[in-house]
Amino acid sequence: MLSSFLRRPSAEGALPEAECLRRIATGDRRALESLYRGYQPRLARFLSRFTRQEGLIEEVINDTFWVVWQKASQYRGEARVSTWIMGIAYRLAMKAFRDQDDLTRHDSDEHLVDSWSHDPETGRELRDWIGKGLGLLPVDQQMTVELVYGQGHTVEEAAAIMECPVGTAKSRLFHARVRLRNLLPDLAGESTSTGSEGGFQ
Amino acid sequence: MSTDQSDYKNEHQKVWELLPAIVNGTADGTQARRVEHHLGECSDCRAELARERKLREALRLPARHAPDVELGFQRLSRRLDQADGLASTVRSPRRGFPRFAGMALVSIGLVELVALAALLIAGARLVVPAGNDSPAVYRTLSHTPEQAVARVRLRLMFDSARPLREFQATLLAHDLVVVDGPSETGVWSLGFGPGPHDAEAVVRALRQVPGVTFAEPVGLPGP
Repeated sequence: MLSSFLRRPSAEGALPEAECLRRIATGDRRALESLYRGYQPRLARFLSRFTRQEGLIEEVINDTFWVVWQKASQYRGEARVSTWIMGIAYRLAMKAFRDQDDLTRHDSDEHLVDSWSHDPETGRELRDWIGKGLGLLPVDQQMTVELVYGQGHTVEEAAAIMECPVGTAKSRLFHARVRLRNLLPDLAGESTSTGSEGGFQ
Repeated sequence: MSTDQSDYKNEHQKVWELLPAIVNGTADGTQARRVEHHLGECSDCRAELARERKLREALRLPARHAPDVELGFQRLSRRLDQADGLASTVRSPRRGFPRFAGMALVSIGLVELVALAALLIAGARLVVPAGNDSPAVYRTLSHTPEQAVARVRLRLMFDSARPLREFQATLLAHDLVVVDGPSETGVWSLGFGPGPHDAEAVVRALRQVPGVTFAEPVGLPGP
């Protein structure tokens, strides 16, 4: 039971990402490709939360890896590689979204309820429904939720990525969780109402 | 409120704050044990944990608007190839040019550079034989072929000890092209690609780039 709460083996343990960066710093394109393939899906997932433009998503991802290619030698290992890369992507995304004025917004809570009533059990519906719920939060709160739950970062890492104090990131996460609890009360489905599983899955 | 109730409330709040770390697997053993103990007696936290696990599950589904990874990397590769191509068209900085000379130029500043240019011109005039009607050809820091002068928007010196690809990347990042250079003192004369550009803003950005030891706009007042 306890083991289900502990830190999961991270992908970074299986993939020598720091070694990848070291090779990239020497101009190794294969190492860059390996890192790109590993990170493209998660970066796309992160960015697609804030824009629907595939072209813009790819542009930010490629700009991120362009910077990785140029700056790999400056990685000193103070943070996880994923935190370093996500920090680069975050800054580039913020700039790109500001330039494009393209931060995705949704209209109202009513729209959210209508969407949920279709078929909450399918993954796509669930993703879209939660996406709409997140869309009702301020962007900085959305980012924090995405970094912590979607990307698996600690609050401290999320703060480093967003270049804000840890207290600010904690506050964003707190308010986002409270708001989401009110916006998405049925998120846990029937299992919550029975309380039978108690979170020990 | 009794002490027990107050303790329970405090513990409830602390565990509630720990739930995201439980959900994303970053909690340590002590935190996990604390949460586990509290969940045994708190249905609210159990419900919240279940809700947040569902949230994480949804947030980790593949993106609907994800670009193709193969095409994306092909485009990045082409971009890197173009940078490599630029490397072959740009003359390498002169070997043997002492780094301290470049640093010295930076340290004396733009005003001194202008004075140095004037001295070079004056010195050249002194060695031109009297009565020679052909115009003297002077090459100073600001010299570029006439047809290129209009395109030169800024001067740049880059640490020659750093990898050439860093220099290339700096140019690409700011849509800069080499018009002339490097001069004997290692100064590059740069212009912009098509489209409007703010030379002063670019110069400010360039000054933050590691390896850039000198950046000044041309034809504009200095900072």
